[in-house]
Amino acid sequence: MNKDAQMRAAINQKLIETGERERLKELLRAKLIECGWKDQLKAHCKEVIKEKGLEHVTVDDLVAEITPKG
Amino acid sequence: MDEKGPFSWVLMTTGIHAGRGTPQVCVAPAPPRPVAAEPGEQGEEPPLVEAEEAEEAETAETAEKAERKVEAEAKVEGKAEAAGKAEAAGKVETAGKVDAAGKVETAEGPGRRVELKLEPESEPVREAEQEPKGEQKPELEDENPARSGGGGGRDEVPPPTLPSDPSRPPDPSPRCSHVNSFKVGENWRQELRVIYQCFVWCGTPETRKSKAKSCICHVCGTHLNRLHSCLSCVFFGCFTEKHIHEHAETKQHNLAVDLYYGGIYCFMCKDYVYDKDIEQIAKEEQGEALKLQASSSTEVSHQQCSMPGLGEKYPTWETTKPELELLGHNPRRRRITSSFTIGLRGLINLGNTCFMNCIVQALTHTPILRDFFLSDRHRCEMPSPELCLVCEMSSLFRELYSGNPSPHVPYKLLHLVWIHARHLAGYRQQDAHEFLIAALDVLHRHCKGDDAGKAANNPNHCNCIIDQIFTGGLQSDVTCQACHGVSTTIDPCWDISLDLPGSCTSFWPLSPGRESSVNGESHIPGIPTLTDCLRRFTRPEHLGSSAKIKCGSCQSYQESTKQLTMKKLPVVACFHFKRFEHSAKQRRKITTYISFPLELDMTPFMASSKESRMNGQLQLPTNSGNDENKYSLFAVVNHQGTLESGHYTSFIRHHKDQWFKCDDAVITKASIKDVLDSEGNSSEIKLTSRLPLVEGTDHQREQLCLALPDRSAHLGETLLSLSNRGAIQAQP
Repeated sequence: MNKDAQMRAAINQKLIETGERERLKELLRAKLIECGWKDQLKAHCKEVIKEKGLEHVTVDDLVAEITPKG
Repeated sequence: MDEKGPFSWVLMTTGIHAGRGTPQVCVAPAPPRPVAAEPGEQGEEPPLVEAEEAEEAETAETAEKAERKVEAEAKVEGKAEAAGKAEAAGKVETAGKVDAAGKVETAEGPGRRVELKLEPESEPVREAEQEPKGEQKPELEDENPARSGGGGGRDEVPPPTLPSDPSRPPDPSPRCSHVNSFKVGENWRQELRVIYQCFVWCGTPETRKSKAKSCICHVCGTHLNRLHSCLSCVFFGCFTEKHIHEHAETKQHNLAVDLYYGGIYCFMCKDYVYDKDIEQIAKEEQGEALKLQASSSTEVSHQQCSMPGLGEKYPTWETTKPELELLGHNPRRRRITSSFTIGLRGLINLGNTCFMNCIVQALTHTPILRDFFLSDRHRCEMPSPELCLVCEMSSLFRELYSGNPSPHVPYKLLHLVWIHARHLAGYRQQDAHEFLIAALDVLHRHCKGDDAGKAANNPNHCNCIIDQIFTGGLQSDVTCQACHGVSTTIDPCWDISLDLPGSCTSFWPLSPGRESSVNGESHIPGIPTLTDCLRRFTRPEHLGSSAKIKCGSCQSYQESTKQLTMKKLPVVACFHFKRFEHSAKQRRKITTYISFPLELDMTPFMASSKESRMNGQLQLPTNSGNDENKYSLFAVVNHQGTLESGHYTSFIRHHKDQWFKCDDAVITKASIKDVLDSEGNSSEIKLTSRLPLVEGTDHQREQLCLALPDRSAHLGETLLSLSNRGAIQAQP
């Protein structure tokens, strides 16, 4: 791992240890809900599912479809 | 600490896959077993057997590992029972299955000794062989409060009372049979919980440490890329790079858990699978972790946050039995149409209380305030909640938005106002503006509970809903005429009180009515506009030779000019016309009609616009492209009559563009023209809300109210079944 990645990993570790990462995640989640991002993506998911059919769609499909949009 | 994780993995392996020599863990035909055994497996022989065959080579290895780990475990725990456990673990292979006689021998595990205390004094050695008396008693599970991560050295985390793992047999997963093969033995629930606690949703500092250290991909070392953990052994692999897939193939471990969201992925089915039992466990663990997070974060963090407390997820609403009953008894559903009148309700005049009624109507139609109270955001922390004005506002909102058309009698509100704002007590006529300020003040003081605890007494850092909505920053610049040094102060303000032409203190540099097209006001020459008043309010004013200010840089008293501008615009701006004049000479009411617009751009009156103003360029094009400072009118409070005796009425905007006149108990539809012209009335207070937010909140409001019809579609089915079958079913 190069230095950059090492630093990232170290920072990530610290973030997890102190619990800050969770807090940040929750904060981000709340903000995204508030601004409607979550709902928009949800609507997009529904469209994708409608296209592919409920029985045949997999999480991987959804991930592939909505990741660029998100 | 890491030992706990891997050990439980290994134990599980040996528990499921029957260890050495006895491959028939699930094939044994089951005589009626009263215990939580593995009935789900009875239909699942083929996949399990296959897995077993693949595993056989491994079991020898893993069993050894088990013993080694147990010893290490013993060291970690340092308890006398560890020795017993080592033995017990040695018996795991034979003990961890159902024998043909139908008696369950529960597999032993460290930290789980508690769960097997049928007799409190039983030694661990015996536990492995112990047969539970009759059925597996529910208290068995109840006695298992020790979180697996919490045994041994983690005593500082008080074992939370877990909802008892049901003693009923695990429900077979309808779609994925591989999951069912995982749900074998007595420990899978506990071990799954360990995984969740240690690697997915970490609530305690210890589990966080373990997660930080160990959750990286064993192949590429990343902590990103959708890390998954194998459910059958200690392996972390990332999903995006398919490292976990490789592991699954080579080791034939079919299940992995997503460390981010906790979902279970089955590599055979190539999709995430949702097993009811596992989902239940996951939900519980997540809830626990969040609770732990919330309780620690409120002590530790000082960051202000206007959200309902970090760690508090937005819980999904699952109807409970009593709720279902309630819904069944009240079958009427509300739909939001453009003609709905919910929120419009008259207020009885309790004796010259029209001043209060008008302000209440205005406040209850303030979009963000309305959303705050209707979503029940107030957490009361007053020592006596009956005295809390915010609670009373909350119930007032409930009353006014209940759909009840008869006028409401706000006697409790009046009583509280008298208690908290003595100067307003009594039945004589009061000033609506005074009431507004007093009410905001009391609400702000009583909002302590909503403001993350601290800084409620610090006016500069309060984050209560009142401050968030109404507080703006008024900048006052005093310029020394000698050295031209500027001394700036910014004061919080809840409203903008404007002097009117015709008052004895007024000083109108511009003839009223000129250059008033900035805000699209009806430009009738001679009629002053709100913009005129604001312009006057924000003009530099010579303080005169009798009011010299000490200049810091000149170190002497100098003549100076003072200018007021808006530094920070509030979300809701209240403009107050000072119609009641109490000067030495006289007390009178100024009745000059002031025209005002429906939409107001405050940009010219902001501190940042001072420069352009001094250069004489006051007017900004109305389409300045910047909507940040634009306001939209939503309430107007009018006063008719004289200083001694008069009457307050108000116009409020309801649902985007419908206006209603509120005259105490009588609400009538009004037109925009009525509002703007208010001929014969003299408007006193105008409340405007920032533009973009109005639309946003209407959207939210529709969402809020529509939430009921949306869910009711689903509930409708349930209720239908209610009426059809006459029995109440719990939510599936």
